[in-house]
Amino acid sequence: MTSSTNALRRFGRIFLTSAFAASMSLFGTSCDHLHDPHDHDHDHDAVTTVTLTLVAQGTTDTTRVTWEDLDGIGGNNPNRIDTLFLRPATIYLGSVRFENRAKSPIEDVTEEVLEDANEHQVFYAVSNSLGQLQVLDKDGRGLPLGLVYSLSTALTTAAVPGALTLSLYHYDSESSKNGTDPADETDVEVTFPLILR
Amino acid sequence: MIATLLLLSVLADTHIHGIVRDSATRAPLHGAVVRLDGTKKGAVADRYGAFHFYDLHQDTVRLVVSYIGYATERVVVPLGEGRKEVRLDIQMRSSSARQQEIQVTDERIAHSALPTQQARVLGSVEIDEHRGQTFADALTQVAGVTVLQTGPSLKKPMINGLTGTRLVLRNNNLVQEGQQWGIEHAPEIDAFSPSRITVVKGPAAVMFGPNAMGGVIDVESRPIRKDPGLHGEATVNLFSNGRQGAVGAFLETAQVAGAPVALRLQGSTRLGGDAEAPDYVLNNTGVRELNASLTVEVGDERLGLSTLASIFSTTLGIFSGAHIGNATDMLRAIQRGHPSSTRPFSYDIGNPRQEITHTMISAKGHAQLSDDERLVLTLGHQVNDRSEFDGHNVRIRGQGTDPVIRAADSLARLQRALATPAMNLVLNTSSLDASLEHALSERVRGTVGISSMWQLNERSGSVILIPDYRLWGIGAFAYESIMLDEVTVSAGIRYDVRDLKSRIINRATREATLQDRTWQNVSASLGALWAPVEGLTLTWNAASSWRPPQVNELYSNDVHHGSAYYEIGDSSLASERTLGSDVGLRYEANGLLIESSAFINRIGDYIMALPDPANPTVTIRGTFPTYRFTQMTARLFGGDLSLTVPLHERLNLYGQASFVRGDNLDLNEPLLFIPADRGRIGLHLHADDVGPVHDAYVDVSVMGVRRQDRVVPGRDYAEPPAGYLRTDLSVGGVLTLPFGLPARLTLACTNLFNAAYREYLSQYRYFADDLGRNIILRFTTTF
Repeated sequence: MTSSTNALRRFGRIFLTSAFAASMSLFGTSCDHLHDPHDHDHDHDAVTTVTLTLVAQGTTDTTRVTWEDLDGIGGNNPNRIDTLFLRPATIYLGSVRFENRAKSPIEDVTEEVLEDANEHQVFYAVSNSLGQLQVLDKDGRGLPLGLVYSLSTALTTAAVPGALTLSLYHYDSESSKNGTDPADETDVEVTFPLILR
Repeated sequence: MIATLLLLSVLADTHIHGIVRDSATRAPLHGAVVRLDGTKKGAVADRYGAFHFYDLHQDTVRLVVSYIGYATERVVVPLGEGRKEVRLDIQMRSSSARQQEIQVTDERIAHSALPTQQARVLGSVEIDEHRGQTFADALTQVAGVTVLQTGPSLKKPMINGLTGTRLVLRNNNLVQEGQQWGIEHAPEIDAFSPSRITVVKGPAAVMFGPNAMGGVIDVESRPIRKDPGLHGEATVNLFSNGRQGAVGAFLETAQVAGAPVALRLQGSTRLGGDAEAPDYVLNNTGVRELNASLTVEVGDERLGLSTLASIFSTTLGIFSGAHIGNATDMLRAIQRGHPSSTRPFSYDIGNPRQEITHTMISAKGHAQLSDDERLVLTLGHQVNDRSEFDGHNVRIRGQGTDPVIRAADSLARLQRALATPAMNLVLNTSSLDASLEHALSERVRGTVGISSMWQLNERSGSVILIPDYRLWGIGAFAYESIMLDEVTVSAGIRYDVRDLKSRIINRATREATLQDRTWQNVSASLGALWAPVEGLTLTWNAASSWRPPQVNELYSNDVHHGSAYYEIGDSSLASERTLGSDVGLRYEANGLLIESSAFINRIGDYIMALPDPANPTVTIRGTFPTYRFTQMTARLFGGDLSLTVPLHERLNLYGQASFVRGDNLDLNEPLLFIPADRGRIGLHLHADDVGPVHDAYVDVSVMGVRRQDRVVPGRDYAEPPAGYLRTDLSVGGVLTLPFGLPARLTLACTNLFNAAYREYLSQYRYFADDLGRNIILRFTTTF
């Protein structure tokens, strides 16, 4: 047993020495490291704000609604989701605007969608048969684009709640856009509550 | 050969038993065959080199002891009159004659398991014959081991339903420290480097710290050959699926310029294109890998130092059909049932993709302080650099009023964006371990030690799944085994402290705060092994260990792409505490081998992300289900059975089956990602010589996997896939090349009938079928 006691003592000494040396080198590298922020400012342009502008046909009666999440994905929930109030049995001419308002100056993403129209498409869906939406604009190949549309609201007497959902798709290439199918990856998908009154 | 004979007092029966060891290293030779000459009786040495014979009636017993890589030994034991107990110590010399065949010459005792634990060792031939595209492929031969996969080149091993940070993966003496928290993060290990893999099923926290609560996978390279001259090995693997090729080689010498410095230089490379399901190409699933390592060993068994420097680098494509934007896309992809568009086969790897480099330096020194004491010090440093490139939102607008300048600027920005990772994580880990292996008496052996680690993670990019953090941990342990004649008892205890300091970014305000958390706790284990009759071993283990919450469980705050849910950590989580027990049985006689085990594991404060349906995450990209990390009481239990039945001298029938049940006891519902019940049955035909081919074999097997029906209805986006059958075939043997070089050749075909199936544990099951037929040619030569 004495030899093992000796060995243990020796072992302890060797270990303590090496542990001390190692800890000096390891823990010496200060934890202040953690204070350095190193988030890249991405060139990828995210959309923070979607604005719909609708004008009732034959009037200058303009409705503008905004859906906005300034801090991007996660964090706080969207800071603004307007309800779209429209009149029944009316034809509206509408447009959509995509912006990144987290950047200064504000970046207008609509222009990029327009520039690469052949690789983009906006889809709309109106729930509860509250209206019929038709895309009016076309891309360079004659396929629908979706930045401009007409919306004919239904004839109702009671205020029925519904929703208008808008999805922006960015296709890998021109060839994967066919005018009817969405892309595999959704860029923007927002829902505005819609009430006819 | 030295055979020590001890004639003991007269006992009830004549009982010959003993230990077979290497004469130089005194390491037990697990698997050595001891035959009673002139009879049909035989025994195989167990993990401790031990063998037993009972009820012998001859006057004189002649034993023939053989083992691959060693000269066959003969021992004559005079028994004479009366019944006796005879104990033998058989020491075998490594055969200096060059082996004609490439065989395992390396069967050191498993240092990664207590003697009583459920452990399975895969040797170099087994690894070689089953080597796939990742190191984990070879592991699935072990009953109870499955893989959680994200495509063919991204596989995480799972033991008895536990994976990720609940397992410890050791790579050449160091605990592999990569980003193990993610489902799509595979261990960074070269498929060519292991020559021995030990799988420990069950808690091993006492030896390897809190994360080993589910088990250990210990990957080792073979020791450098000690015979003079320059040696080496070259391996080529070709895979038809993905048109993948891989080449690995090493060169080694036991002496450099006459000095006793052993060197090995190893390298490998792999190039694969898109994998193919039976009916379509899985676009962007290619892989590129380049690995190298240098081993330098000085000294001898008594005092020595072994250093290893290695680099693993890979670029992996993430299946483009599995990269979706939001929950609507996910449902649409599932409804469609197949990828929306498939391009022709290509070797190109585009976004999304991962680029990972893992660099490791280790130095392991040992000193034999006395006959009974051996000191081992291991110092290591690892750098894991992981970049994940996203496929989303690459819509870049250039600056400038002139359209030409703007177009050029757009292109430049696009290229920059594609080359900028959405997430980059650099994880630095230093570790120092010291252990003293000792023999307190002839029958009591054990190890005491201290292990410490320090880690720094630096994150950059827009994705916030884990923060910057600094982690240190220190632990002290002791375990001892008492070896009696028929019974071995092991017990161990360990104490660990972990301290985590993280810099957390608030997503709304973009402000960072620091949080410091410390955990400490005790792990303990107790086990027994009983060998009542020849060939039969029974084991029992009980262990309690803990695991501190991991950094993603505490601070994750982002969308999980590929699974389309928003995952939120909980910074107040407490440690998990597990209490588990397992029993095992091993019986081997006349070629019949039965191995079976069963386990139960109760984990208090088990950490898992559960849905929070009241608070979906609303984003401009759509609405995502919110999952929050929470704690519950979980219970896992299961069992497995493997058996080999000799139908004929040359024909074996083998089979294995395993099942695992996992439940959240608080909510009384099944856990997520528990492997479905599975089994395999096969025939193995073996011949010593067929023409010029030695050791020829034909092996055919069918794997059957049941549908995982234990899920929470409606919880997942898609119901679990149907059960499936997969047939694999392989033929192989050893040929002699010119200059007397031996070459092991294997031609294998997995998914022989090109069946379309989906595996519940695959992340791609929502989007596409699993791999179709894959014809594999493997070639290895040693010189």
